[in-house]
Amino acid sequence: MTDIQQIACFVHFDKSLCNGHATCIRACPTKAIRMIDKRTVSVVGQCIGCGECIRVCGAGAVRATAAETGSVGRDHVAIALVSPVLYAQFPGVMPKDILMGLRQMGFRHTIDMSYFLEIFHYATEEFIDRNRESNKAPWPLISPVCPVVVRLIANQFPSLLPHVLPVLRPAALMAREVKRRIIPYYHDSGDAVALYYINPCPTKMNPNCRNSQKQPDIHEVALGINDIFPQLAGHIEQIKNSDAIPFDQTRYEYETCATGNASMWAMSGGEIAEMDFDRSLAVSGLEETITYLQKIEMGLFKDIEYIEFRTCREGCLGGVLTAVDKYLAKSAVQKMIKLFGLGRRLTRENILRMYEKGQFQTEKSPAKLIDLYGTKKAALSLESLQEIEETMELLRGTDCAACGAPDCRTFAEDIVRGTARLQDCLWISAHSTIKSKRNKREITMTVKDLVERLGLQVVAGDKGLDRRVEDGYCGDLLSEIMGNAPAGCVWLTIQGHQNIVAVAVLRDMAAIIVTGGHTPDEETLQKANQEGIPILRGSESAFQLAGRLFSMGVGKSLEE
Amino acid sequence: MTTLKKSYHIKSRDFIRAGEASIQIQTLLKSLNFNPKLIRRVAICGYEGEMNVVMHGGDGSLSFAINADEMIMEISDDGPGIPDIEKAMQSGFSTASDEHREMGFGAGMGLPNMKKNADDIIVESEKGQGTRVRMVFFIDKGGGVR
Repeated sequence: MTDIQQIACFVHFDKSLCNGHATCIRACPTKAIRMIDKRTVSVVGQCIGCGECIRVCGAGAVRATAAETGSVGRDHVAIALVSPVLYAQFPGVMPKDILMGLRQMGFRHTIDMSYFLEIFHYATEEFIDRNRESNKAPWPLISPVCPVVVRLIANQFPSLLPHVLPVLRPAALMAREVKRRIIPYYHDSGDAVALYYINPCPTKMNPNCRNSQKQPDIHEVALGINDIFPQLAGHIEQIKNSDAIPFDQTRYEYETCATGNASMWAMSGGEIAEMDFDRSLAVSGLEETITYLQKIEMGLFKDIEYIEFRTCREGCLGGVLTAVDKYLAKSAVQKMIKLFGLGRRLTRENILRMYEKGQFQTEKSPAKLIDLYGTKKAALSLESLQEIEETMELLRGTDCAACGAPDCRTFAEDIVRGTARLQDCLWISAHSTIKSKRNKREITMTVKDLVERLGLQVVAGDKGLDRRVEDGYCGDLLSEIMGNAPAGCVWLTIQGHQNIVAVAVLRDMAAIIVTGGHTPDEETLQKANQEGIPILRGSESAFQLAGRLFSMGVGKSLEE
Repeated sequence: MTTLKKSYHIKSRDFIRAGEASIQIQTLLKSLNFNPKLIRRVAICGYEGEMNVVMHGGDGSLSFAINADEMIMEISDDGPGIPDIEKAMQSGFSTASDEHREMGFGAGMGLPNMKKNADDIIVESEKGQGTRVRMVFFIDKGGGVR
């Protein structure tokens, strides 16, 4: 664990694998990640567990905080809470065989979600039905199923929290049921129990995380589907190949998967497809979700009653901790629906009775959600906002993320908040380095320096040896030189007649270098001595000398 | 007193990018931790205004200024103008085309919605001279800023 930084509740970053591409920084929807000191990625903001950083990291340096699978059931009763996405990972395998594979892995109980999905369906339909008359909650109602969506709303769209359907999501219903009915049974007999959430995404918070305040009395562990996939696949292979499958005794009605509804749930649109109302939408993908939330916040979609959001494309099948590609998994789901058909096992009456008692109400109030996942940044003042705008004008606005912030605007905000410095911007710091180098050279680079560094022979004009060299120019056509040579330049030519001195004087040159070993005329040297223009002789060609001068920094145009 | 100004160009018939300015203003106001309800009102007005320009108004602009007491949003365009402003302010009155209605717009709610959400609104228009809508939102110490 030495290289691994435990910095967030849902993900951790492996410094040794990080390639510094900053893809995670740019992908983070809450702009929570910063790169500090080249390859140390750090979560400075509010992580909502969407897993986008895991998805986009090409180096595999971001991982979900997950547990070891080897110890399942070793010294405790292991209970698996199975996401329906698991069934889609094994095309052609019956859910019951997959659940049995889990039991062979060491899980005493395998809890299927379909029972709780039905409860959720009934409760949601009931709530929407009643809301049509009471109008207590604003339209459109937003599905509470994807916890990332709810956290995203709390973090960036708090005004939409009243839109979130106040019904317990299926996973919460499932966990509650297990805690109420199965765990006490083992506690009575003194056995230790551990709950394993088998998930397609890192949304189940690491229980040891600093953010979860209460000390849990039950050991809860989050496992990614890809963590258990290899081992589970082995067991399933055995089960498939054995002729006599032992009759599998399950004790609770929710330990088996019966209908196609459950597997459909894993797809985008699976939540609303079977529900009893028409004006609903299913939106998947993080960008798409954000766009829709922005529009809802601007008063759109009021004619829609219910929107199912999933931040992963194609729904939970597209979760970052799945083992099989989302499109293959989708095809597996579609085949399963064909095989099982859709339908419900529970009756509406029973569920309604529980609904009346308020059994499905969420326990998390909007205030609590804002407290947990709301932005922790202090409010900016109008003045600092103006400062951000001014800082933005200094930056190039290309959102290159080389500074370690996801985009120029966030960087400017970091500067104003005091957590970043303007020099952290590569473009700005490169610019100022070149400028300062150039200033230095302007002071120090003289004709004498050139003589020493290039090994030139001074044949005339010693008086001018401390003239400053500011640029360079090559050419042998005098009228062209007269027209174009910059002031303060050193001029490379093979001409040796006395007119070159006049040109050098008129153009206010620093010196003349006669190249290729040519020797200037005697009159030229005399004139140069009179004018104090140094004439230097070099044996190399103009091309070679120009190259060496340029690499010394002479004549590099530094302005854009 | 510090005043922050932003201005945005609105392109005629650009339904894809319509709403961008309002989203940016919304983000700006969120970083000031303004009351979500106030932000929402500003965003709704901006969006409706942008939509009006995109649908009816030819090219236009949205300018936004904010100081400690109030926000002023001004949306103007060089479109055909509104012949009867009083009528346009009535809920349900619409001159939208079938194409607009197919996209879910044109319910005749635009200007009335802006009037409802802004603390003050002035609509100036003349036939053939374009339209200018100026809205004011007060930032009161109690409810405006958290």
